[in-house]
Amino acid sequence: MRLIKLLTNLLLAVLLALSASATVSAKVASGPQNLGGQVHQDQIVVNALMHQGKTESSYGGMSGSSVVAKSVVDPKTIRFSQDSIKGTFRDGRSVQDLAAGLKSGSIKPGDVPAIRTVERNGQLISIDNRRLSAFREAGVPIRTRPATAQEILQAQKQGKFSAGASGSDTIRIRGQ
Amino acid sequence: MATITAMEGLPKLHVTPLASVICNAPKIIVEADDEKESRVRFTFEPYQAIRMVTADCFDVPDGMSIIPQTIMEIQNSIWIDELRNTLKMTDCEADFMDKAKHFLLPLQDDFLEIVAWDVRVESVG
Repeated sequence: MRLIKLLTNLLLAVLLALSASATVSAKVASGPQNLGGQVHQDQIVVNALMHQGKTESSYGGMSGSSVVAKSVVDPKTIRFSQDSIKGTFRDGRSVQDLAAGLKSGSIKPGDVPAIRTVERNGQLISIDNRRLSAFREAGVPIRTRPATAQEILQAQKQGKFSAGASGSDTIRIRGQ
Repeated sequence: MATITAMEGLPKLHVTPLASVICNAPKIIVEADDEKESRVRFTFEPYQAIRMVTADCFDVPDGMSIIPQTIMEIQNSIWIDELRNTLKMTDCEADFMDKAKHFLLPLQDDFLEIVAWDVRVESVG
């Protein structure tokens, strides 16, 4: 009798563990892993950041918070949403300087905010084109995160997809 | 309800227009590249108001969309109504806001809004 009870408890524990694992896998799969082979699975970082409203994903036990799934990918696998960009960032620093800093190691890739991406037809498209351009030039893996629905809507309303629905593999830098 | 329409007869702007904005009362002068990469000067005169908002902070109201690379006019502008109401408090007989138009220029990193009577365009060397 005791043996049956022990076995039943063991079975229940295994079932619970499997169920929890499946839930996490399903939730992580709603992130950038959908992007088919472009994401380095071993480099996926799931940061439990308190980005309110940034994503609809959330993990159990974190009520009121949300999770932004970040990935590190080869920048050449990401396309541009625009066909041209300005050569300087808003703070006046140049795209070239960022590329040079990343190349030399004076700027750490982790110190640069992750770029926001949109998936279309299995292809990742960036809406942060200047950062992507610098990382591509430097040949350094780049951190990405899926843009939220609100961010995509805002980019669309502002007419930011000038490179068309599939994005562009190249971009022109103007005013360097 | 406010609506956005394209201004006719004005050249289309480049996606990356490399714009400069000069405020020289009573004119606002905007120089920018057109879609063929020719430099064009837009002079808004006389102007009544100007505001420039960085694209990340610029909210396009629901139901409205920017017309890419286009100088737009906002019809039934709430901003013009606000300016007109203030003018009526300042000078109840003044009517110069009745001629005012609300222009909107997408300058890639920024959105420039100008309330002015009119705009004229010319090529720059």
